[in-house]
Amino acid sequence: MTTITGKNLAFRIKEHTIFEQVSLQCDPGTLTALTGPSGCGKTSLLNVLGLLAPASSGEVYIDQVPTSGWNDKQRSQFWQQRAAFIYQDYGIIDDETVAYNVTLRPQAKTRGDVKAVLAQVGLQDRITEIASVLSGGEKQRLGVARAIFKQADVLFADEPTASLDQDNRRLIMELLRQRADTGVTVIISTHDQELIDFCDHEFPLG
Amino acid sequence: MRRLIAVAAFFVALVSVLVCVQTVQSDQYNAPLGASASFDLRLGQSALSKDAIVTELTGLADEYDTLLLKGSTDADHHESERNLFYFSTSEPHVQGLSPQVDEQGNITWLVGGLKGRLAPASELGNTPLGGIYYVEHVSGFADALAQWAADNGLQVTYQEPQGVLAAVYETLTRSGLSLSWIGANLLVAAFVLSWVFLRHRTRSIQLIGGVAPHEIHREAVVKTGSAAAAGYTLGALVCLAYVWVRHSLGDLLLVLRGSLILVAASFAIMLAVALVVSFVLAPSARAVAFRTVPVHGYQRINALVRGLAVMLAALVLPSALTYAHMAQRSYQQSADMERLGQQVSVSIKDFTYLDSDEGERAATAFFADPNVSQNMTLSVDVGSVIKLNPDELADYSEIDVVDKRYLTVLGVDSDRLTSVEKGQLPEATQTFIDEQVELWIRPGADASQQVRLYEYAPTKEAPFISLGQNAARGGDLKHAENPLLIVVDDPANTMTVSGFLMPLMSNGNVLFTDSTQVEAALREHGLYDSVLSIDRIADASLTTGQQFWSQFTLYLVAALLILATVAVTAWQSAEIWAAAHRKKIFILKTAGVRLRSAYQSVLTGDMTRSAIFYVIGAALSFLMPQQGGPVFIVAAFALTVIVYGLVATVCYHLTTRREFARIARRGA
Repeated sequence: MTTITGKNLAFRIKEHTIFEQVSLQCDPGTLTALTGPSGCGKTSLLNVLGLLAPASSGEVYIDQVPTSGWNDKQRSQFWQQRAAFIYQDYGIIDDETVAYNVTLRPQAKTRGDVKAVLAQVGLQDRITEIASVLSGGEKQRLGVARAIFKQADVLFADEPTASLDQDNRRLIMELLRQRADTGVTVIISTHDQELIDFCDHEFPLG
Repeated sequence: MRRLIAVAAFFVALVSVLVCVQTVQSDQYNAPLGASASFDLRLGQSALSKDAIVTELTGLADEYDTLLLKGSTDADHHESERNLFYFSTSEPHVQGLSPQVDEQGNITWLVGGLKGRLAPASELGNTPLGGIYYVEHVSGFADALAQWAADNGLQVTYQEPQGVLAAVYETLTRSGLSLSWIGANLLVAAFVLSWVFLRHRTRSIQLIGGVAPHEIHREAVVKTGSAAAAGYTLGALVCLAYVWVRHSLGDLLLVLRGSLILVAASFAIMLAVALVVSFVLAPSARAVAFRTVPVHGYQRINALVRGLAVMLAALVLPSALTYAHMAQRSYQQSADMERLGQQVSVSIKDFTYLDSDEGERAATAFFADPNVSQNMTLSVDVGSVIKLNPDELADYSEIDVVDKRYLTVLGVDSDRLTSVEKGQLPEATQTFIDEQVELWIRPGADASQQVRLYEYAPTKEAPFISLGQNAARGGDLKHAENPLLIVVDDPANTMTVSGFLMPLMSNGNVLFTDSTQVEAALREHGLYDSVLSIDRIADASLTTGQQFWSQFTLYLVAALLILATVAVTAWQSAEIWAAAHRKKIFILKTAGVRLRSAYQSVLTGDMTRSAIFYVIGAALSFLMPQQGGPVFIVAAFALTVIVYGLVATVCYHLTTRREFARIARRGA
C-alpha cells in the first residue's frame, strides 16, 4: 500500500513552464486520472510522480517520505520494488519474445507465473512469439501484463487505452480496476473520457 | 548484431592460430630447441683450424652445460632442407621441444615441406663455421665465449635474450598477421558497442521495469560473450584442424597452447569491453521518460573506436599498398627478364670465407676459369649503386656497365651502337668514369684496351634493359631511354673480384648462361658451400614477387578487417545521430528541406576528426619495421577517408529515411 503525494509541484523545460503549483494525493486502492488538453503536462506530471523526471520545484512524497533528496540507487530501488509503468508507446521490446517482455529477463518462457499473467490479458498462446508480430492492442495488453506481473504497489499508466478498440479498452480498464481492488495505487494520464469516468478521481491540468 | 559478433570472433580465432603458427615458425628458425640467445661468429684471419674451432666450442658448451647449435642449408636443397648441428659431447635432450626431432635425429620443421637433421658438429663437413649460432643463455657463457674469441683472433657479436616487451612489440609489428589480430579484435569491440547501442531502449525499459543494474550488465556480457564464444570456438577448431591436416598432430600440439592463449586473451578482452561499455553506457530513466537517446556517451566511445581503427589503417594500408606495388613490379620484371632467357644468378649466403685471403684466391681462380669467363654476362646500372649528380650524368638517362655478351643476349644490334670517345663527354662525366674505372679494374689491366664507351638508342622492338642493384631480389629493372654504355671486353679477367665481381654476382648483376657449368666451377674452386642458391633470374624475380604477394595478402586481410571496423563506426555514427534527432528529421522532411543539410556538418566533422587520427597513425607508422613511402601513405589516407565518407554518407541517408518512416507510422 503506497500513497503518492505531490505538493506545489512545478515542471519547466528551459524557460517554458509546463505546469506549476500542482498539489495532489493518490491513495492506495484508487484510480486517479490526470486529465487536460494536449500539451498541458499530463505525461510530465506522471513522470514526476513516478520519479522518472525531477520536478523543477515542489516535492513528491512516497508514503510521506520526501524524495527530492533521493539518489539514483534509491530511485532504482523504488522502480524495482514498488512501481510499475505502462507506456504510451507500449514500451515493448520488439525483438524479444512475449515472455521476455513480461519479466524483462532471459529464461522466462517456461515460468508458470508468466503464463498465468499472460492468460489474464489473453496472450497465453503467444508466449514464445517475437513481440514485433503483435498488433497494437496486443502490445498494449502485453504492457499491462508486465505491470501486473510486477506486483507493484503503484502503477503509473500513460494513455493506456490510446489507439485501442472498444473491446481492448474495456479489458484494460477492467485489469486496472482489478489492480486497484488489491490495494494498488493506480495513476493514469489520459484524455479518454470513458476511462476518466471509470476512475475514482480526476485531477485536471491546464 | 550477435551474429556479426560471432563472425568477427571467428576471424579473431582464425588469425590467432595463424599468428601462433607464424610465431612458432619464426622461433624455430631463430631460437631452435629452446635456444634463448644467439651470436654471430666471424673467423677473420684466425689461425685456428676448423676442427679446432669445433672442438673448443664443444668444450665451452660442455663446460657450461648449455645448448649450442648451428643451422645450415645447402644450395641444392635450400628450400626443402635445414639442418641443426649441436656442439656438445652428448646429444641434447630434445623431447617436447620445437622443432620436432624424432629418435633418428630427423627434424620436422613447421614450415611446409622443410625437413632436416640434428647431428653433432663433427658432421658439419663443408658447412662454413662463420655465421649465426643459437645458444641457451646461461650465466658466464657469453663472457667465456668473448674471451675465447679474443684469444684466437675471432669476432663474436652476442645477442642477449629479448625482454618480454621487446618480444611482444616484435610479434605485434612483425607482419600483417599480427595487425590482422588487432584489427579483428577491434571489429569485435565495434560490434559489441553496436549491440549495446541498439539495445539502449531495452536496457532502459529493463531498468524501470525493476531489473537491477547488475543484472542488466550481466545480461549484456552474457549475450555478447555467448555469441563471441561460438565464433572463437568454431574459428579455432577450423584453423587447428587445418594445421593438423596440413602438417601433423605433433605440429598441432606445438601451436595449440599459444593459439588457445591468444584466443582466450581475445575473449577476455571482449568480455572486458562488453562490461565497460555496458557500465559506461548504463541505461537511463530519463531516456525512457522523454523518449531520448543518451547520445554523448555513445558518441564518445564511437569516436574512440573510430580513432583507433583509423590509426591502425594508417599503420597497415601503406604497407599493404607497398607490398602490392612491389609484387606487381616483380612480376612485371620477371616478364621483362624473360628476354634474358635462361640466364642464372648465384646468391651468396655467407661471405666469411670469401673475405679471407684463401677465399679471394679461390674466387679469382673461379672467374678465370674459361667455363665461367665465357659463360658470364654483366649488366649494372651504375646509378643504382652510386649516386650520380646531374653533371656526371650529362644528357644520358643512365650509365650502365655491360659486357658484349650481355648485349648479344639482349639482342642489341651492334649497328645501333654509336662509339663515343671519352674526350667528347662533358668533363664531369669523364672524371666520374676515370675515377670509377680505376676502382673497378684490376691492377695491371689496361682500361683503354678493355673498356669502351657507346651510346644506344633503344626502340620498342629493341629496348635496352639494365639491371639495378639487387636485380635478383626484386631490385630495379629499367627500360633505359638513352644510356651511356661502358662496355667491358673481358670482365672476368679485367674487373676486381672482391670489390666488383663477387658482390655484383650475389646481387644478380653478373649472370651466367649455363647453370651446370657454373655450378661445377663453384664446386671445383671450393666456393659452393658459400652459395645460397643458383636461380634463373626470371624465376628469382618471380619468387621475389611471390614473397611480396604473400606479405601483401597478410596485410590485405588486416586492411580489410580494419576498413570493416571503420565502416562499422561510420554506420554507428549515423545511427546515433538519427536516434538523437528523430524529431528534427521528421520536421525537416515534412517541411520539404533536404535531410542532407541537417547531417552534412556532422559528417564533415567526423571526417575531419578521422583525418587527424590518420595523421597521428601515419606518424606512428615510422616506428614500424615495415612502412610505405609517402605516396602510399597519401594513397592509403585517401582510401580510408573515401571508405569512411562513402559508408557514412550512405548510412546517414538510409538511417534518416528509416527514422522518418518510423516516426510517420507512429506519429511525431
